[in-house]
Amino acid sequence: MVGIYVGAVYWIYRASSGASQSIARLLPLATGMAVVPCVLVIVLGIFSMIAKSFRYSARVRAARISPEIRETLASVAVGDGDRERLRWLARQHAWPFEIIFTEFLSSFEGQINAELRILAVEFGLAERWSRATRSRNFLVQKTALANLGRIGQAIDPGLLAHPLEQTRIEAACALLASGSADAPAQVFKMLPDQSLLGRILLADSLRPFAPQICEWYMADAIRSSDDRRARACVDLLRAWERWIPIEGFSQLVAGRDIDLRLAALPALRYASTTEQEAAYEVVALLEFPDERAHAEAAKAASDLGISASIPLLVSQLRKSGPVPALAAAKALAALGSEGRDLLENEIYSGARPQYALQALEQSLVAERG
Amino acid sequence: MTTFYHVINVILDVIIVYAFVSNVNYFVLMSLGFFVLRAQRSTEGSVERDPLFKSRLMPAISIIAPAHNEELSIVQSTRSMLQLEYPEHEVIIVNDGSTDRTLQLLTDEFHLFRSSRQPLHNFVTGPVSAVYESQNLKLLVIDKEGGGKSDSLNAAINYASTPLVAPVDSDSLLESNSLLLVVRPFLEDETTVAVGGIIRVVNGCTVEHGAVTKVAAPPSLLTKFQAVEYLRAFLGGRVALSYMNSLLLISGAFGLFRRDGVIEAGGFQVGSLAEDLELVIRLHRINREKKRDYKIIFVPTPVCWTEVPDSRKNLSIQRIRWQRGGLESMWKHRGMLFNPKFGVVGCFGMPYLLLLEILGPCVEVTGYVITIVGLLIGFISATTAMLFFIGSVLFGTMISISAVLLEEFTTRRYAHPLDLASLIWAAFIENFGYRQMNALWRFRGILEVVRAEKKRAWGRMRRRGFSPQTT
Repeated sequence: MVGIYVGAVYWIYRASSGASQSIARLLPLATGMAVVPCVLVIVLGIFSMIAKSFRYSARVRAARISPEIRETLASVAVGDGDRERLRWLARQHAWPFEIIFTEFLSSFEGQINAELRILAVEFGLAERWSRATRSRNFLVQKTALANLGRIGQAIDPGLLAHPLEQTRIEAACALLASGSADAPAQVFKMLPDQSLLGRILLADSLRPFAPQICEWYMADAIRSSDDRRARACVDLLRAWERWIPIEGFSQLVAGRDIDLRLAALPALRYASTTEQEAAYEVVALLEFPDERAHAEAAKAASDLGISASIPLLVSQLRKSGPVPALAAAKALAALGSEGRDLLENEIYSGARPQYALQALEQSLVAERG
Repeated sequence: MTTFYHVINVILDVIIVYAFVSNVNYFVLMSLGFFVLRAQRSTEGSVERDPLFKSRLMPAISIIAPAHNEELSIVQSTRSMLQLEYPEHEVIIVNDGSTDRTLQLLTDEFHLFRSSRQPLHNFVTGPVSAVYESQNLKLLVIDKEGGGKSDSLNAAINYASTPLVAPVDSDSLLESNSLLLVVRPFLEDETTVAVGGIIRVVNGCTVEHGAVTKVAAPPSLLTKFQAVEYLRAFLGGRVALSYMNSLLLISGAFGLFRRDGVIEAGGFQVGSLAEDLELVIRLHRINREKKRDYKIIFVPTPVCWTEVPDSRKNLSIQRIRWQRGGLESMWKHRGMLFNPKFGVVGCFGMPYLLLLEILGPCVEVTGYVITIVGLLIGFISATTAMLFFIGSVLFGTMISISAVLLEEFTTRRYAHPLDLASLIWAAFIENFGYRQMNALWRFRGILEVVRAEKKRAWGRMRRRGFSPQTT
């Protein structure tokens, strides 16, 4: 390739060098070097247009045949269709067939889904998807993993340790969907090593197994000395937003790093066994010497309705920076008539009337809305 | 006479070497961009939206949009911003001294009431006359005296309460999933400080209810040329520069920044004509000086659709403005140029921007002048001039067609083969007039900086607005 390139450049250089003998001596060489890649790019352009035209007409053909595939597949799935015709469609129009089959798999449960699982094996789709899990194209790999999970086929456990996070996540989701008995435990163990994106996606897939995970693994994981592991658990609880009390949750997080405690604040309402337990942690954070903690704790106090925090909130409204002061004012507005009366007093006589006014106004607008 | 010939010869050789180096550089960046995009294509945007859309773990975002006399598009673009798929986002519009019905339309359409909302930060900005809020929607409108785009963005940051802020142009349209896509690098890596999305040309596309429903190539040649330019700049240059963590520009039309990072950097520079470029350079500077791990990233999947100028006059105003802004930012941060303390940003990103992007028009215009004058006087033969022109056209064609092909090999937003064909055609014929015209406008921008001419606070072009048919 390099030889052809150099040869072509030299040929153009020789052909054009006579044109510029006394001035701009480099011009023929530059022209030579420009012509070759330019021709290459133009050829690529023409090739792309042809390829695009083929893809376009394939899409048009697929759109034309899709209703028939859909109809035949639906009939076969409910048990009264022409199986041979469907087999022919699957062979002749493999691309639209697979797309429609995947749609059906993710849309139907029960008897139809069971029939689709049989068809996937019978038409060789399961085997094809199994092979595709080793594809270097992530989209192909992802679709194959998701489909294998839907039809309950085994997932290669090695994919849970794949270097690409997206592949790990898809494999974990497929494993959970496949119904494997130890899947929740395996996926739960993966959590600390994933990014926030990975944890969000896995939390969603682990949602159906929340009670089981909280009962068996959560307390130990939060108690562990590994902050990342504890943080992953707290993120899970926040993401699930389900009331699943964990014995001594507040005490488990209370002595930890401040970032973990702040992350755990929104989870207190879901994981604390008693209101007092949650209130203790919120009040402790309102007294903690960090404005970030004050703002977050004020929000938690308002969410949990902790009236014991009112004196601290008033002090925070008067003395803290704008963010915690506003958070305190909002919390007071949410804590019933006592909090609102205090805010009104602040408006008339306090040092920070603006935050009190904003909090009361927003509270009234929210009530009317 | 021999000395004169010798000098001209040296100048021409310098120009040829410059053109060759710059085009090879573009081609290398584009090739790198191709491989990066191919690797990203399958994973970017492949995440199921639903879990992200529902999750309480997603960081909240404030979309901040300055508006100055935007009565034609403000209602539709605000509605489009409010309807974006994201679990928790608020929209802050800053009415920056509009003299038309911008504020009135917003008040009527979104039932705004005068609010007592307080700023949470204290960037010094022009006086705020009033703050309005919507009763039911997460919409805040700040009405302030005219102070320019940067001043408005700083005012919006003062009122934003979320960890991430997304400056956008109020006359652009974001795709419904753009926030979910642009936030992804922040979720994947907590050292990310800023992310830019791609800007695409909406002219020619079908827009319905504030969303692009059919993508098509722009109708006129002038807008097609700009579509090719945008592809070249975003898919070629920025992908590769982002890969090297030396991305210097996140377009003001659509980006996402950590609010704390912007505050630490001192906000947008008031009076700058390229406040977006200047802020990103400053973020690099601060993070490099403090020796922090940080990332400034470009992602090609979140799309912001923007209307590009369809007249030469408007286009020239825009290009002169960009050129002035670029040069001023570069001058302000000249200490970073070739400075190893700033790593790849100082040693590659900044020199690349200055020598190839900003000073390019000077070299190009000099080449044209020497060739034309030489041809008229007779010291350059017609054949040499022709060869010079052919070389320049070939290089230009190669880079522009490569950019269109990059789009076709990776993101494939244009579905119809004729759209691709028309863009490739535009990539070829832009070399016969448009490119030269553009170089002259940008050269004028440089002259204006040198002559210290007065700046306009808002260098806006006349827009048509997003009517519910083909734009």
